[in-house]
Amino acid sequence: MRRLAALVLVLVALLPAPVSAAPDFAATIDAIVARGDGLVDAYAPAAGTDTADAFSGLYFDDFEASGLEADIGARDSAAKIDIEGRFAKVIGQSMNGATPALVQAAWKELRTALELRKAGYAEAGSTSAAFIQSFLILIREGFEAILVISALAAYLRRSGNEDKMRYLHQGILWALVASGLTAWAMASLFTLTAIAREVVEGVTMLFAAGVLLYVSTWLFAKREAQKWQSYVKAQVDRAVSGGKAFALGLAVFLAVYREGAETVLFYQALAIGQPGHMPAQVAGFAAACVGLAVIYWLMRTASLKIPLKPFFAGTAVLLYALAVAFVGQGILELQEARWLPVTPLHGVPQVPLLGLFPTLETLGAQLLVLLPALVAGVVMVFNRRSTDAPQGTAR
Amino acid sequence: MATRRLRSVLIGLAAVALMSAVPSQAEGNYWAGVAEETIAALTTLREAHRAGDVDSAKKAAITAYFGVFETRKLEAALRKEMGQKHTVAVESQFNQLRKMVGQGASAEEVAKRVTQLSDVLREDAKLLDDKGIPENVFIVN
Repeated sequence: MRRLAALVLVLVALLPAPVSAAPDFAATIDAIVARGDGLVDAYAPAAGTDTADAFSGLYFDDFEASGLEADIGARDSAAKIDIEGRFAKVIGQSMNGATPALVQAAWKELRTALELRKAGYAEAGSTSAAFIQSFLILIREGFEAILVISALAAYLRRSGNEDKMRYLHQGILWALVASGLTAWAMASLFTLTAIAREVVEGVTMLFAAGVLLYVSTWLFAKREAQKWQSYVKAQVDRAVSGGKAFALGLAVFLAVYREGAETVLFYQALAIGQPGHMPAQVAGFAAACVGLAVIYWLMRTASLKIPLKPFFAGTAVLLYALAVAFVGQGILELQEARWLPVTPLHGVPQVPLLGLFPTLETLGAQLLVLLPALVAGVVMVFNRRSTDAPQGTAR
Repeated sequence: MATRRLRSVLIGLAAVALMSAVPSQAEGNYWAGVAEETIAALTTLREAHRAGDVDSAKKAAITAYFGVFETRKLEAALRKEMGQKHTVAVESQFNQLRKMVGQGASAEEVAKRVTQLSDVLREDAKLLDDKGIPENVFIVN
């Protein structure tokens, strides 16, 4: 962990020097809200076009021209589309001369969406904002990776394979190096950065999902505690042999590398966007490292208290779930890169953390990945029933 | 056992990719259609403005941008394919037109700007169509 933190700190230190002052987006939002309130208060259906026109002005001259729209888009493209849609609604309704109550309601939605973004800019440009943003980037991007690392480290410890821990360390280190190099390549080599980045991320995520599935099914097969204890007692320390240890290292590598390059680019953007806040950014980064270490430690402590059988089963399920999420995220990246088509599904919510996106392709692929587990689950329950029954009568 | 399952999962993924890869890019002039719809609204704007109907001209300006250009995802496609800078420039032309209507600019000035913007939209849409950019990706994104 310490080596990991040190290496990432070095990567951050290599980021280019800040160049320009960050605009005060919280003030921009305040201005839009104040003007919008005034426009809606004065709204009269007969003069609806003027209100719509004035809101268009707010959209173009304030929301867009200030760079607020682009900034929200860079942080959260779904939020940007949401806000744009709400602007369009207010404008459409007032243009059509809707009742004041309707326009008021549409404006309230837009105002809330804007004010939610304002919280993210809390005292924009301030030390605390720089700290929080820097903290959140690493926590958000590192969360899934730390889950994979914790689960596999706990697994190695519990199965008496602590000596194989070096494969995990190597996986992490190589992933950090590869992330740094990829980020550098993306920033300086490729002209079609967006597409190239999506392809790299998509392929990595699907590859990661594949390796996680492999590790997960293999762990699940080992969940029988008795089998394990006899393994360990019999000194079969080849339990995690070369190939499987490599798979563990690869799983960790992919879990970290998956978001690694993106994380480096985020920090680069942060350093450029909030100049003069380097100490706060480094502190936020360090705090996030501590946060991830705490998650790691909690997982480790908890895993030692859980009996072997549920521990293995739980670890296997966790890795499987992460694999399913990775499949959804990976397919979406390839859709964005236009390697795969997009068939929208209406009524399906979008939960990026779970890799849940409203398209036939992402959900179809996830279902395919889930199917073997569901079938295996049904078969297992069925088998247990048929083997339990004779045992029950024998006793 | 685990390897076999992994293999079956990968084969499944490949199958999904193949099954769904064919029909997506059937339409070759989707963006041209969106551009023409936008231009139709801009033409309405020009004519209403020429006739001194400020209200209809303002409405047409709003429809062109919010009703078509943005809603039909031409804006999103441009942003992604032609970059932020170009898209902002196109968007600012919509805004300029809106302001010209409000400020009572001359019919010639408005007509000139409408022609300029229409040319840009047609050109960009052709580029998107030629590149085979599917419209769907911007609907879920």
